[in-house]
Amino acid sequence: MATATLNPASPVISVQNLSKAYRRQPAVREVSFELERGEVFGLLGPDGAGKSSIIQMLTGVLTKTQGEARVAGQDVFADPEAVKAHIGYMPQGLGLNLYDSLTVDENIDFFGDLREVSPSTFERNKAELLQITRLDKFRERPAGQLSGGMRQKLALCCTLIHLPELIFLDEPTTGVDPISRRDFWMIINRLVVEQETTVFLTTSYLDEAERCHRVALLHQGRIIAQGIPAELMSQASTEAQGQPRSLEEVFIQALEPESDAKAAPVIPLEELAPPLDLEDAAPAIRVEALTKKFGRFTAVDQVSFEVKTGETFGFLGPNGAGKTTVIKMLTGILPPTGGRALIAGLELRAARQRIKAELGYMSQKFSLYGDLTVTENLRLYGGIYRMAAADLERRIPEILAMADLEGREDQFAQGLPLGIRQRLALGCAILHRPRLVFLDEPTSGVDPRARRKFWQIIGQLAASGVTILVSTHYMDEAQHCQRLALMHQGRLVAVGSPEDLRQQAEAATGRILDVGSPAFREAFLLLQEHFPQAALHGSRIHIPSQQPDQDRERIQQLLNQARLPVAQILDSPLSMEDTFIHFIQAAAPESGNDL
Amino acid sequence: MHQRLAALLRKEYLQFFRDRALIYIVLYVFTIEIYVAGTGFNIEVRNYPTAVYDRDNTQWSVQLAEKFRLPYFRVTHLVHSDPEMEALLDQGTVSLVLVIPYGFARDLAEKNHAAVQAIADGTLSNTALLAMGYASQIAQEFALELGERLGRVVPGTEHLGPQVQLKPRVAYNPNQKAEWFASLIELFSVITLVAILLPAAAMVREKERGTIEQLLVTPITPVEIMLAKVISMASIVLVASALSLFLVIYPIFGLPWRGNLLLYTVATALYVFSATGVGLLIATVCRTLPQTILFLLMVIPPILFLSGSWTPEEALPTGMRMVTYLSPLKYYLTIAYGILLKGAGFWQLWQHFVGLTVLGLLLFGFCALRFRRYFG
Repeated sequence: MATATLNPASPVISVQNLSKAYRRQPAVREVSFELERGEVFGLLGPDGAGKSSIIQMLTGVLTKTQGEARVAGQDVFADPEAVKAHIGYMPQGLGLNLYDSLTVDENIDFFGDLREVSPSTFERNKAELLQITRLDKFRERPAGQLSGGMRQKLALCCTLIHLPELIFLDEPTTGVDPISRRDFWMIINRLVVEQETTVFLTTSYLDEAERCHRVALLHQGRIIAQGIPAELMSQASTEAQGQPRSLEEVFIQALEPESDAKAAPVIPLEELAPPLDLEDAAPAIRVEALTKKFGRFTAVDQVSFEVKTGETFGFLGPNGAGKTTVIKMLTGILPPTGGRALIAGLELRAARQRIKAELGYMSQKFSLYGDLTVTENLRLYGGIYRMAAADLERRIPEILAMADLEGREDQFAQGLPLGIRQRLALGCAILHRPRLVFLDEPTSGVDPRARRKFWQIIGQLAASGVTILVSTHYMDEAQHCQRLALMHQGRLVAVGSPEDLRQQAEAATGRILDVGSPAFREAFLLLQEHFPQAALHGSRIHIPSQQPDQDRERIQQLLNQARLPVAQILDSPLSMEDTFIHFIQAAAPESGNDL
Repeated sequence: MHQRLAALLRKEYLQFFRDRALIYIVLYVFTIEIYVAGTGFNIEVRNYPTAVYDRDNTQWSVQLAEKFRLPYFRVTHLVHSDPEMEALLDQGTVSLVLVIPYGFARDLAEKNHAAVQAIADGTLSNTALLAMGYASQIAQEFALELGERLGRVVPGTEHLGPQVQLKPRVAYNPNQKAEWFASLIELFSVITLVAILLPAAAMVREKERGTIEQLLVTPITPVEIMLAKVISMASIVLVASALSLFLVIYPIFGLPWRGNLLLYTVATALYVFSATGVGLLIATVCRTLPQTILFLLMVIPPILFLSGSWTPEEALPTGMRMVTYLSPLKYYLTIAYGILLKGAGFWQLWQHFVGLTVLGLLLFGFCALRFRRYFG
């Protein structure tokens, strides 16, 4: 067996000028990077950037077109089998490597056998993994009956059962609920700290970068920036539109030189209506105890909320939380099992035909006609909404300008890049000037630049008085909404403005002390004993604290006593993810175990 | 309503004419496939591979064997033993063996009566039956000739024995040209298949891609969506079937110009509309294209078999015969044959027109109901 431990001096992964093309379509273009032992390396990028292609080449699943890659001291392309003994690999998708008809126990046993783990090691690893993931209560449950987050945690257990030195994770947290995500990172960090495991992961969440020691930003197969997240962010100039320093900014700035995108001074859509006073505005949507059951499964459970006219209202939650089901009921696609919904004061069930003319809807997956051109799609919807010919002629150029589609009028919709396709879908949805627009995960998988552009358009729409209900699983998109509904397992756990929600959560759990130390591994192990809620975020330690000043001193003291260096201790606000976790736990205190 | 429907119709045509592969398939089945069916389908006995097992080996037996000749029978083997004969039949090298038993000539001379045996390969039962008929006719002619030569039948006295002579005249297709029948039957089958498949596929594709949801949120009614599919796909099938009739069946197979083509077009339109109804019904049940195709494989054969196209309905058991009244193809076949081959007019066929219309309306109503329930 190839158990020869790796030479600690040489990099665990070393990639030089690696390229991959499908037929003649380049997917990965000359990427180079290195991973040190014990490092968490994140490959960040939108759908279609080439993340999966890279991970599959490094795990020996895919062949290369050009370049070099050494993994665990072996040339992957010369001898993929030799590499496989060292690594664990979790493919993309929620628990796709699991067997649905096998129980949690049986799945783990199967992967243990597959990896030929010795019985004693196996039992120890299994017990530990099940305990951290809190899956130990569900050992007899078939994998097919687990929630998305639980499946993903089980998939991780199966991947880690042989405690590999090197782990490859392909979009492990996409669409996963925040609690499962937190558990997930806990396992990873534990391995990194205790075993010096090396982790290579991909993600489309830019805010997840801070969980990594180093990141590379991938766009259209190229690495456009690479380095330590904090350093990347401090390099990015912050003047642009007063945006806070963020990786999104880094991403967009790295793209600017090679793109002709103007700084997007967006053309006013129509004569903007003065911003409405939301306090007095009549409700555009009123939902009371709305419920949807599919057989024995309750997808939406007694949801009640109100959206004011002219408001941008966000539905935030993981995949499977019930966001899409609520939107489908409000647009009349799905009949509710119980409860009622009023739209513009009209009972949804009774006045559906009338309401429909006032609605715009953009569904989750791209649902325009790919074999029609941009203009043909627009004309189709113009006809469907019975717009007068002259009006349509005026309106189409307006929409093309707004969605930045000029010059693409005669391109087929299926050939457009994802971000542009989504803008066309939005254009079709608002062509007939609806007063109420439903957008179901419009930015899922879209690159940051296109996402920002998309939100600018939404902002304009909102400014013109349109009521917008938008769903998303990106925590960082919460800031774009005036009010938020946090959704978890079919229930609303909180409704309010992002700032209100954060303050409520902070009042209950405290702020975050962000500890930076060059010896973060040792520091984390030490602090964990005194602050059980301490969590590792990349190379920084986050500790929730009710009394920041006292705790700060205590931390400083503890680290000084252990002669561990302290770079800085910052007092930072609660993130949206932490806020979400607080409300999930507050809504059902025991639910922390039942995820 | 009109503007919405027009917008949808435009979309349907655009999508159809952008789908190159689909266009080629439709063109192929309506032209080349009809031609192949018309020329390739033949149950006549021609060049029937035959072996002769002459155990008598006399002048008369050889004379009889020589009567089996082209164009009907092609004698390829002379066999001399039972195993040899069986082997030829088993391998399918010959389809008929004429066995002339030992003592054939002697029996004829002495008893005025002899038997020969014909063994046919019944796998293709229709053709085998025909071949057997020909063989027995040859044997009888041989006997008559022989009788005259031997003077056992006195010429001029045949009328003394009772005799019935059949003088056949086949109406509408006097030369019994199989290609008329075969190409028309193929055309009707192709119309059925395509008129069900096209709308079903177009509808299921909207489901697969999620575009149907987008449509349902607009003020479009489910019935409008259904009408757009029906009108566009039915018109395409109508045009294609006209192509097939005027480019293949009339010019190549020389079908005589009889009957009122306008009446035929009306009947075809009625039929195609009911068939698209069947297609859309299938689309309300299926979620994906592969499912739809499998479902079609289940639905199409009974429609064809119970229409009387392959089996005369009179030959079916009573229960089955009742079921044929549910197949729109049955009415359409009677009408189409009536017009195209017999030159019949509306008043001779009106009952079938009523049947087709009623069935079509029922199918349509049911389909609209399902659409309302599933997409409403």
